[in-house]
Amino acid sequence: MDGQNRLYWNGETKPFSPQPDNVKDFFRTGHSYINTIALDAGNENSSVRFSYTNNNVNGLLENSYLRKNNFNLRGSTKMGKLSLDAKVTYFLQEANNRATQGTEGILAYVYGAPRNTDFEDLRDYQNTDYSVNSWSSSSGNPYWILYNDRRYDTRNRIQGFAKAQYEFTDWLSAFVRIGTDRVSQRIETVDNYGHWFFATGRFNYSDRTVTETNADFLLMLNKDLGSDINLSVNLGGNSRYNTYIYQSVYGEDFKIPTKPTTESAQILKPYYRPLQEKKVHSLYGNASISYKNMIYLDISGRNDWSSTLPEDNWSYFYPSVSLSLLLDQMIPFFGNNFDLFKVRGSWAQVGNDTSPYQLEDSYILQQEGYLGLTTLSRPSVKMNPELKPETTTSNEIGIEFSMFNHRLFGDFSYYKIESKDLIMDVPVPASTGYDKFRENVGLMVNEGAEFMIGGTPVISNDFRWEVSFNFSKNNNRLVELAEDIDNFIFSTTNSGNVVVQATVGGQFGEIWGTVYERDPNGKIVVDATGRPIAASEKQLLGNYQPDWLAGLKNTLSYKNLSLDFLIDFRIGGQLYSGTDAAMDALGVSKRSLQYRENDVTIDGVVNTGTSENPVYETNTNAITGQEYWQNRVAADYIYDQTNIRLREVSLIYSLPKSVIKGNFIQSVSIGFIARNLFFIMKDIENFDPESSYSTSNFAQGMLYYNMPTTRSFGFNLNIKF
Amino acid sequence: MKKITILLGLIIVFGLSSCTDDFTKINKDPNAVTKEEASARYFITNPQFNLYAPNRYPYWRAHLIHMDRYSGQVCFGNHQIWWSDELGYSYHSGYTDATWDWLAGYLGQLDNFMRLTDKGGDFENELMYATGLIMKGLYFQMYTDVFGDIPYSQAADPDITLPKFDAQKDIYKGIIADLDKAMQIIGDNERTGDGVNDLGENDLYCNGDLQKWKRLANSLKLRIALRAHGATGDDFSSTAIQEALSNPLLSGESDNVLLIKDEEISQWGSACYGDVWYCCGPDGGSGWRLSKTLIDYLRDNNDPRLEKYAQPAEGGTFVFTRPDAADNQDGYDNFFDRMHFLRDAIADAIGNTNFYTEYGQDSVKFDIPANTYYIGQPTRLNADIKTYVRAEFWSKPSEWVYQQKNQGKKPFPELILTSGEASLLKAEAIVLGQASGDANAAYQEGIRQEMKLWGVDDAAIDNYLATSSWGNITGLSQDQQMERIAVQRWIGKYTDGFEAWAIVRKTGYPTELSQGVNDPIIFGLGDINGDYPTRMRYGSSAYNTNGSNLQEAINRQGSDVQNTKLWWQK
Repeated sequence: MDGQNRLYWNGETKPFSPQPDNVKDFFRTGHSYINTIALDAGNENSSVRFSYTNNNVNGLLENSYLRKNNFNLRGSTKMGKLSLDAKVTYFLQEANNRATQGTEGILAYVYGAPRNTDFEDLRDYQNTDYSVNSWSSSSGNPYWILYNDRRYDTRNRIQGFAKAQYEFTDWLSAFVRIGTDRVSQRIETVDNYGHWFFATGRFNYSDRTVTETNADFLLMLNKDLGSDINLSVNLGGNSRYNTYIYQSVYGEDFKIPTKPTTESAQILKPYYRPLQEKKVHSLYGNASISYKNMIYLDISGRNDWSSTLPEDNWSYFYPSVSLSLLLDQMIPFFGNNFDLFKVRGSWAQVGNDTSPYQLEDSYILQQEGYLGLTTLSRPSVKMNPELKPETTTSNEIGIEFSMFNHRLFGDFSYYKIESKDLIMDVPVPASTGYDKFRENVGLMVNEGAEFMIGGTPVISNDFRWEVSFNFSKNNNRLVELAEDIDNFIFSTTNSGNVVVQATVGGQFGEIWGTVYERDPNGKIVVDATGRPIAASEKQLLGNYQPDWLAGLKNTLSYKNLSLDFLIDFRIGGQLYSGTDAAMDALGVSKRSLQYRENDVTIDGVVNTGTSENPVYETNTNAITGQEYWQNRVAADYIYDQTNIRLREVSLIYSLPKSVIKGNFIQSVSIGFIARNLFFIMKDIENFDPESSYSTSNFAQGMLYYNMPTTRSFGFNLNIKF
Repeated sequence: MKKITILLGLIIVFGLSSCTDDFTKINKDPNAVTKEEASARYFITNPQFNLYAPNRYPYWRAHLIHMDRYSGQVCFGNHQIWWSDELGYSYHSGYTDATWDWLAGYLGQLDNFMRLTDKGGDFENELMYATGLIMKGLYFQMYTDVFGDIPYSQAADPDITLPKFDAQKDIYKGIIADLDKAMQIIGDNERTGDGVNDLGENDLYCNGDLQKWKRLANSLKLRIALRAHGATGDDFSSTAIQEALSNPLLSGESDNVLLIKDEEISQWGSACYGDVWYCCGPDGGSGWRLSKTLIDYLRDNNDPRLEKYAQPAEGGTFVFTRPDAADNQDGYDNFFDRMHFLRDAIADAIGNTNFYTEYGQDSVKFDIPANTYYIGQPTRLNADIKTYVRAEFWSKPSEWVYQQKNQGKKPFPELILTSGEASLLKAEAIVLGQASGDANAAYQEGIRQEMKLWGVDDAAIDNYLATSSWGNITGLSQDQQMERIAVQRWIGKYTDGFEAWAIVRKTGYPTELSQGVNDPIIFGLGDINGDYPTRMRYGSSAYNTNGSNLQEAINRQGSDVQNTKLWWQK
């Protein structure tokens, strides 16, 4: 970039100059405000509480916001042996321009912009013929996404319950309760006319409502049997009722380019999903016996009946048992040296059902039959009329101790969790006539250990130092999947060069990707023009699961001032950065400056024979920097996720009692909180590995234009009346 | 006490509601169609259009990016397209997987129709089942001709999760056996039944006409047998060719088996070329051009299909400046090689080089008259030359080919098997000595039918047959006759890249395509060193889900690369 005048993409002539920080300046500083007001009233028998919370977040992107309003009302009263309790919560949320991520997300058009792009020029995002104005006719424009397209959703949630409890005697009581939770969501998505992928426009407007109603009762018995033994028994039942309805209208090809309405769309597809229901009835009980506050034994059992399973399998039982021993109460050695020394062990099973309509094969009627004909098709998933519930069995042993007057404490546990008969849609070769078979498959084992150790090394009159460290490590093994199937793919990149999967004998979250083709001597094989060739089979390049996680928390307090800081460790685990790969291929990363001015000759060999009988000769063909960066393999973009960061620092000052006059104000504290401050060490150069995390297996292990993680600073004022 | 009664009452109510009486009822999907509500004819339409006009995803990646370009008729790599014309000649895992997954995944819908109509099926109907057997032949021939060995004999068996891959020879024999069985079942029957038992308009290929189905089956048998003919270990093609020629083939205008395009359906239901052409801005990131090989044959032999297939090049004036050596050594060194190559390619169409001017060592000018000349783009140009390959230099397809939906005009139909092809196949069989008859008459009838399909009038056809050197094959050597038939078949397969590509692979004609490319300054050699592609690589899902059976196929067939020859080419 020489600064000389050249033709710029919008037709003007401009100096060909880099625009430093144009990407950084695209983002704004986000703000978040939370205000809460709470009112309490009551006497010894009754109480009412009302609270309202308002939370406004203005995100990193212009014209994006999240607004939440939360209303809460709770009342309870006691009339002799009967007590009543009821609560209702109303939650309203509105979000605009939630960032789209991935290869076609907004950041693809921010990070991918040519380095001489002045983003102010992109604000004029539309041409007079409605098409997108950008640096090339097939590129998006981030301001179009923020101001011309629509990504808007609202969410209304009402939750409430009423409960009546009756105390028959001092050792026997019971309650009945009914509660419901209803969530309605509206999502509006528009890609406007002139869009780079949907030139004639498209929209989807949808409404969905999900409800869950629970009615339950519990009979509670708690009695001392003699002076040393306490028995507590609970017997209860629950009836759960879930419903789901959904309707949407999809349209494309707008008659009036500026009108993304149902009247304007030439192709319209309405969809209505009638009431979908699910019922689960349960009966359960548990018994706890304790002896002299030394030995605690808990036994429980539960039977569920689920409408989603076939008749022979819809009733299933799962028990649990656990035992705790307080050795400090039992053995003098522990009693003399520890404040508390507890060992515990447990074994528990949990059964799990599925969603409605998963059992029987049926046919799909096409709304848009070819040439308007009535057409039917078969779903690509083969259903299973003999589904069983999933079963998870957990075993855990642990030790908890405290000593030196609680100056030192710790907790250690070891667990092994086996999940089997998982209800999955197992991918099968298409030659079976289906994409997937729905089956109870597999055995997955999670085995791990967690420990926490903490203490208060220094206590003086005014100064106190508390420290704690926790550590966790989980080993995950996929022991078996369905017969003949040895892997299960979670996600694949667009170009297919990387897949994230679970492999039998291996773990969840394995990252498999392309590597260079190499000759028997390990030299990279290039093609006749000198470009490296990718081998036809992918290799295991890593796993997104960490080796271990840890956190170190320190609290230092001096008089009324308290300083907290938390350091997070995430050690091990890998990810594939599609963002780095794409930016190198586009030539917008710093890395891609290498070889730009001078070509590069890859130290490799070229096969001048056939694929069956190769003859390898030294490569002499130079390739351009562009060819070099566009022909790299997945293995070049695997990064270690290891990072250590200062997660949180907070400084809180409480006003001394002596300063607060009168009885009206009870306490005042003022605090400063900073989160995600900086990395103490990090392996991946350009991004925060945390931006790839998700609770879903299907969205981890890859970075693709994810939104950056944020550093936040906050002030907190807390006044209690 | 009263309160206790209420409490107990609630518990009892709860207990009553916990019964499971309504479980089965609420777990039935009200939107799902059950077999009692369905008829078999409603199941034939989807497998019919999905094989030739699937949704835009595979239509772009399988049909356009791979087949139509491997056929040597369609070129990417002009300045406004995203990709150079090397795309696909270098293995691309995403687009390859799209092709594999679509072809492999197609089977389910056809299998469903066959299962429903088979003995013991929900809608048992032997005659409908016979049409399924013929569609199975169309499908497996298309599928194996792209990849080679594929799962066939153990496919669609619900008890076999991991089917073996069959050798292509066995697949070909299996298809012929299926076609024979279908023709035998149909016999003299005209329709599959009455009322909802008649396939009727739901049958997009033959409108329920079983005798047309039978002629389609017989013509397909001839196509397959000729493709197998002469391959290593071929011991069945001669018999099959002779059987096919002693039974009726598709003949005459009304016998063309075509798929009429739905001009309203969403591109995510079924696509046409227009969906791709117009997808990305005016003229699109995908506005392909026609190849030099195709345009040259049409133009140089006065073929009246030229103006039906193509439009004259837009033309215009373009000045190209030689890059600075410091910026781009390769671009500087090879600038004039590239300019001269383009000049010569265009000069073939215009007849002189007056449109081309060089200004010293710095720049050149192309000044091409607007909308006058039919000019084809050379295939397989590389990324380095791409900026000079102006879209305006070359002929676009005719508007009929990329007709957009909802504009009141029908896009050109998909070709399944035409009377013209059947007649050309017959000519080929006679020239090969596999049958007796008048090869030239069959050749000319083939051309006549292929031209009628594009709306060429009889006078123009008669004129071509009488005056063009490609209008007859009388008196030529067997090699020359084979070349003319092959090239005419190839020209006739315009817009059907699957068959056009197979014809080049099997016959070696047009030679210009089958010989590949070798100059890396001009061409993209792909990862097959400039060879003509003979197959596509298997999709990743085959490796992931059926790896050991796939490996067995690779050991038998040869490396999983794009220049391993298929059985019928050996």
